[in-house]
Amino acid sequence: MRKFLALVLIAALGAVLIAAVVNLPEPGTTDSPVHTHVSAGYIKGGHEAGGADNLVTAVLLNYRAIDTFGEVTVIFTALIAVLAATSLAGPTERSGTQNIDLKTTRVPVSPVVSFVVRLMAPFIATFALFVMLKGHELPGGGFQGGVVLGAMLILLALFSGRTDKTDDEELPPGLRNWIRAAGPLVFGALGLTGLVFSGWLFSLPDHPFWREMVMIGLELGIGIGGAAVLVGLFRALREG
Amino acid sequence: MSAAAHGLALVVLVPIVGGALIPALFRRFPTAAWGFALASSALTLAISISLIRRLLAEGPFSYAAGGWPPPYGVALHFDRFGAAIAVFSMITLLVLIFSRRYIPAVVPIARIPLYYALVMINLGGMNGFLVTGDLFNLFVFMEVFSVSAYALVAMARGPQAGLAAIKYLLLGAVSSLLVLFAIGLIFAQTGTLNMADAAGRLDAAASIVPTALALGALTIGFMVKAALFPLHVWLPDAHASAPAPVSALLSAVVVKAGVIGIIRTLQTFSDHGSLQLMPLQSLLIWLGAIAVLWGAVAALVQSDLKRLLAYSTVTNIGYIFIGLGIGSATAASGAAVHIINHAVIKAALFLAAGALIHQSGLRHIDDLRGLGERMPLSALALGVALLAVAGVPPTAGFVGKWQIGLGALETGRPLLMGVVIVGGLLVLTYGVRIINTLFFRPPLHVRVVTSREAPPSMLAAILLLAASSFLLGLAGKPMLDFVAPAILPLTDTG
Repeated sequence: MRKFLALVLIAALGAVLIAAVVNLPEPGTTDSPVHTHVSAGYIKGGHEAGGADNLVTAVLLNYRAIDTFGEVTVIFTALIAVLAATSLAGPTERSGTQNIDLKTTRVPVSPVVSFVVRLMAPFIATFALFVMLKGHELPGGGFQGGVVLGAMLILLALFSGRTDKTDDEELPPGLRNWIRAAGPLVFGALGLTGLVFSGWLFSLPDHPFWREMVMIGLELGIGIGGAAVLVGLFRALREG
Repeated sequence: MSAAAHGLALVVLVPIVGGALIPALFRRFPTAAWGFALASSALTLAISISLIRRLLAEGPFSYAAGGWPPPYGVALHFDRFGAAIAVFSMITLLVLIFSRRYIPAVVPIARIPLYYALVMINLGGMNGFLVTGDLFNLFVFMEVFSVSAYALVAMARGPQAGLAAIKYLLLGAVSSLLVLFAIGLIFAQTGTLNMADAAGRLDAAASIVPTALALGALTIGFMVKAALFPLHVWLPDAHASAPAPVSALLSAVVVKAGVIGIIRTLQTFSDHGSLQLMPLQSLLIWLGAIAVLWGAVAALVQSDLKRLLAYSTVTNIGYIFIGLGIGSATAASGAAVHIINHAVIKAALFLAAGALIHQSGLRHIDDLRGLGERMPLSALALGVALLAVAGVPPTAGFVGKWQIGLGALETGRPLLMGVVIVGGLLVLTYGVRIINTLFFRPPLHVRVVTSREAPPSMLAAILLLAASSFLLGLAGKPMLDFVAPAILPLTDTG
C-alpha cells in the first residue's frame, strides 16, 4: 500500500514537472531568452572584457566570481562537516582494531594493477595540472583538474601499501589544513586584491597579463584545494 | 557609488574567509579559535551596522560584485529586510561568547576549531543569502549556510544527533533541489538570474505553466528551510538534539532564512500580470494557523525542555506566515518585526535552557524542579524569555503578534485573531508551568541541589538576550516604522 501510494505521488509530481518543462521555450531555438539576453552579452563581450577564451571560465571566474567563491566554500564546508561529524568515539582507538580486520580480510593487491597505477600517476598528475592551467583557454578548469588530481591521489592511497599505518600523512598536518582551505582563501585574496587594484571586490585586474596570472592562480587554488578536500573525504571515511 | 557599499560583499567575505582560516590557524591551539571567531563576527557586525547607517541615509542600495553591471554580474542588494543581518550577526556573536565554556565540554578538543569554522561559515552564508539580488547566488549561499547547519547539528554527542542531522540533511537537500529547479525554470524563460531583471521579464514569457511551477517549487523549497507546517518534521529532532548554542543559532537565525526566501519569492512574482498570488497567500495563512496551534499543543505535551522550545519555533514560524499571508501593511510589518524579535527571544530561550541543562546535567522539565534557587539568573532569564515568547505585553513577542492579530481583524478575519490569541494562551500555559517548576517546586533531583550558576561568559550572553527580549517590546514603534517601507511590495498583492 505504501509503495503504491509512493508510486502515485511520484507519478503526479513527475506529471507536473514534465508539464512545466514542455512549456519552456524550445531548446536550440536562437530567439529563446536564454540565448538572447545575458548569454548574448557574454558571447559578445566575454572574450575581451571577460579576459578568457573559454567563456565558461570567464563567467565562473570573472562575471560571477562571487558565486564560485560560494561554491568552493560549500566544497570546503563539506569536508569540515564530515570531519566534524565522523564518529565521536575518536579515530585513533577504532582505527587500530579496524586495521587488524583489514589486514586479515584484505584481498592482496594485484602487482599488475599496482604497477599500472604507479606508472600512470605522474601522467595523470600532469594532465590534471594542464587542465587547471589551461582552463581559461581550453575546456577544463580548476574544478575538473581538481577532481582528476584528487582521484589520482586516492588511487595511489589505495595501492601504495601504506594504509596499514595509522599516521600515514602525505603532508605535514599543518600544511594540509592550509591546502584544504585553498579554494575559499584564493577567492578571499581575489576579493581584496580586486578592491585594491580596480576598486571592486571580486574583480580581476584590467591588465591582460595580470588578469591571466590571477585566473591561473584561482584555477590552481580551486583545483589543488578541491583535490585536497577529496583526499580528506576519502581519509575521513577510512578513519571514521 | 561611494566606498561604504563594499561592505555588502565584505559581510560575506569576512566571516567565510575567517571560517576557512580557523582550522589551519588553530590546529595547535584549538581553544584559541574562540577569540578569532569572536573578532571576525564582531568585524562583520560592525560592517553590517555601517550598512544600516547608509540605508537610513540613502535608502536601498546595490553593489555590483566584480564591478560588472547587472544583469551580467552578480548584484548584491541591501534593503530593510537585509538589515536583519545586523541582528543575526549580533546573535552569532553572543552565541560565540556563550560557546566559550560550553563547547569544550561537549566537543572533543581537536574538533573545537571545526565548530567555530562552521559557525562563521554559517554566518557568511546567511549574510550572503540576505544581501544578494541574484537568484543563483541566493542558491549558492543557501547551500553554504545549510551544509554548515547540518554539520553543526551532528556535532552533538550521541546517536540521536546523528540521526537528526541526517533527517535534516535529506529534507534540506530535497528543498535545495526544488529551489535550484525553480531557478532553472526562471532562467530558461527570462535568460537572466538577476531577481529584479527576472521579475520584469517573467511577464513576457510564452507560457505561464513553468512560471507557476517555479513559484510553487520556490515556496515549497523555502517552506522546508523555514520549517512551516507540515514541512517542519525535521525541526524538533534537529533543534532538540544539537548542542545548545547551535540550537539557538538554528532556531533563531537559520530558519528565518527560509522566511526571507519566501519574502524574496513573493517580491519577485508580485509584479507578474497574470499570476495571482492570493491563493498562495491564503494557503500560507492556513498553514501558519495550523502551525501555531499544532506547535503549541505539541509543546504542551513535551517533557524535554529543548524539544518543547523547538516546537515553540514551529508556533512562531506559524505566526510569521499568518502575517505574511494576510499581507496588509499592519500584518506584514508585524511579521517582519516578529522575525527579528523571535530571533532574539529564541536565542535567549535556548541559551538559558542550555545553561540550566549543562550545569545540572538534566534535561527533563520535571527533573529541573527547584533549580531557580541554585541558578537564579539563568532561570530568571528563561522565565523572562518564556513570557516574551508567549507575547505578554510589553515584551518583544507582543509587538509582532499584536500587529498580526490587528491585521487579521482589519481584513475581516476574526477567526485568525482567535488563533493568534489561543496560540498565545497555550504558549503562556507551558511558560507558566516551566516558571512554576523552576521557582516554586521543591527540588526532586539530587543534582539540582549541587548545581551551580553558569560561568560569567554564558551568563553575559543569556542576560543580554533576555534583557533585549524584554526591551525590544518597548521599541516596538520604531521597529515597525523601520520595516514599513520594505513591506510595501508585499502589501500591493494583498
